[in-house]
Amino acid sequence: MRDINMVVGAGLCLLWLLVALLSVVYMPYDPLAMALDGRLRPPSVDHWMGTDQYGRDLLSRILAASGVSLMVSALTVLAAFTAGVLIGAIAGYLGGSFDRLVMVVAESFMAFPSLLLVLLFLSISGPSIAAVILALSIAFTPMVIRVTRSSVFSLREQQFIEAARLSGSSKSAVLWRHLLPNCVSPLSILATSMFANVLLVESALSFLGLGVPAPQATWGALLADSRQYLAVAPWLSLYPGVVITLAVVGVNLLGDGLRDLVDPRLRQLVEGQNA
Amino acid sequence: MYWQYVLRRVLLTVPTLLIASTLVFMVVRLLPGDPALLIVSDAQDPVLLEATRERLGLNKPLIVQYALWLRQMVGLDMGVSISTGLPVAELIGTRFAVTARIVTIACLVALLLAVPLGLLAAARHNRALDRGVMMASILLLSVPSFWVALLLILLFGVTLRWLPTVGYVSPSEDLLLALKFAVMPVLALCLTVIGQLARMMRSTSLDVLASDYILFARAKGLSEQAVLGRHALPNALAPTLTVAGMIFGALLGGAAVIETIFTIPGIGRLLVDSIYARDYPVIQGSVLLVGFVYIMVNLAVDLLHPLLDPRVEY
Repeated sequence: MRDINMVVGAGLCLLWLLVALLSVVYMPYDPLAMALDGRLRPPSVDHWMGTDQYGRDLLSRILAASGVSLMVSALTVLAAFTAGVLIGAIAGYLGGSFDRLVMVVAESFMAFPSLLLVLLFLSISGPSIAAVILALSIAFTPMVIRVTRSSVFSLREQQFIEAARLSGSSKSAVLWRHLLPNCVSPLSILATSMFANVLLVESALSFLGLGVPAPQATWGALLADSRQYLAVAPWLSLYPGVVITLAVVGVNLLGDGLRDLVDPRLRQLVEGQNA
Repeated sequence: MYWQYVLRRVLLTVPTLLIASTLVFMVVRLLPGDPALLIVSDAQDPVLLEATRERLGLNKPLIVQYALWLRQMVGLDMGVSISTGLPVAELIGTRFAVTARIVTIACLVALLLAVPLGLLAAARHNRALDRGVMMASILLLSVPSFWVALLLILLFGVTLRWLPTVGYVSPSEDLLLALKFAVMPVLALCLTVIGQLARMMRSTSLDVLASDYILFARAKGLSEQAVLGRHALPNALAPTLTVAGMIFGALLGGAAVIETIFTIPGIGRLLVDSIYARDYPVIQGSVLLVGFVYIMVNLAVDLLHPLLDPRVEY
């Protein structure tokens, strides 16, 4: 049962990656090519997922968007983890007033729902793909800080760390060579659940028209476009939604699989961070 | 002992509140452009501009501005909306009530369904029911709520024509109609929450059910119903309630998407509209309000936690 989850999850993630790569070299149609005589056509042999209000091929648009959605989510998670692990590890290891300061600031950021924080930052910067990634990263970094810090903090007093310290390893060597490698499992689980979350928040942003600006479209933007045509062209809403759901299910299943593989007891630690 | 914990926990929220408010203050100050330019009617008039800056306190040092601003916020004097001219406190108050009502109902419905489902799944660990609940909940928490909303509109609004598709009616005007309008937004919001809460409830229930006191209760010959309901449920509930509190707070801001789809005049929709309109007093006020409520909800949940689960150390 668990193995099936892991296999399905990894399979879906791999499929997403392959589709995103494929879309760089091949798409059935130009995703931006309009055909005014072929507007709002239902799915057919020529257009597997139908066409939109400008006659653009929906499948091609979804393929083109797969790369954008993947890139935004991946870069966000990468940025949040780079900053979060660094800050959290140092805070957890040093302790004292720096630790308290970092934690109070992180808690204050987490006092805002992530979508709200992202909206606040985007209201300053205006829409661009870089601003979206930056705003999402800032909103998600505090969670990484918290998990890294508490993992490092709980490991700090363990005997193998004491031994490393007594054997003359420098502070940074203890941190990088001994403490952080032992934080990999909670962090990898956090990374998957965060990836799924980022994808959902990013889709919501695009849906509100505040995400990655046109002509680049993410899956959320495709859904937003489809709203007006819900009654006459429901396929425009169905396919992007199915694709987002499959991607999020894939990442979540992969995360579940990882969690069961690494340590079932970590479940609560990370699930609490996920609201 | 408990009161010491309450005091400590309450005191801990003070720096969080201060830093959270500083964050909002700084972000709005970082905005490009002169706020005075946005407010005055004639941007060419230097006397008027200077007077507006003076009135807004923009010529004072930043720290003084912050202190003044904080005093205004505490006194609920949040200024006037640039785009509508209405007082911000009043505006966000009425909008917040709309969102709070819908999100509260959604969270309650989700708790009522997710708690028994999670508990039963844990009691039938690794059997068909457990697997079914787990699969359903991973699907539910992965589906974007705004897509669920579109599907609901398609099904109940367009195809079956059972429910009005978009719009909002206040319950004080017409309760029945208000309920009809609320069904789809509440459903769209609570499905995701059910997924999250059922998983949480299941995993804590698994831990609780494996503990010695449950074994003892079973050994005493208590019925399965009594073991689950009277002994396992209270202790397993606490972490789920904590997460439910966090989700509730997150939804107050996160319901913006659902409010947009169903054209509900809630606080999330207000925030998005004021971002489009660059209406900074409203952005500031609504973010502060949601942040404040979120902090308070988390405080309440944390204070409740040890009362529900006596094993918690504080």
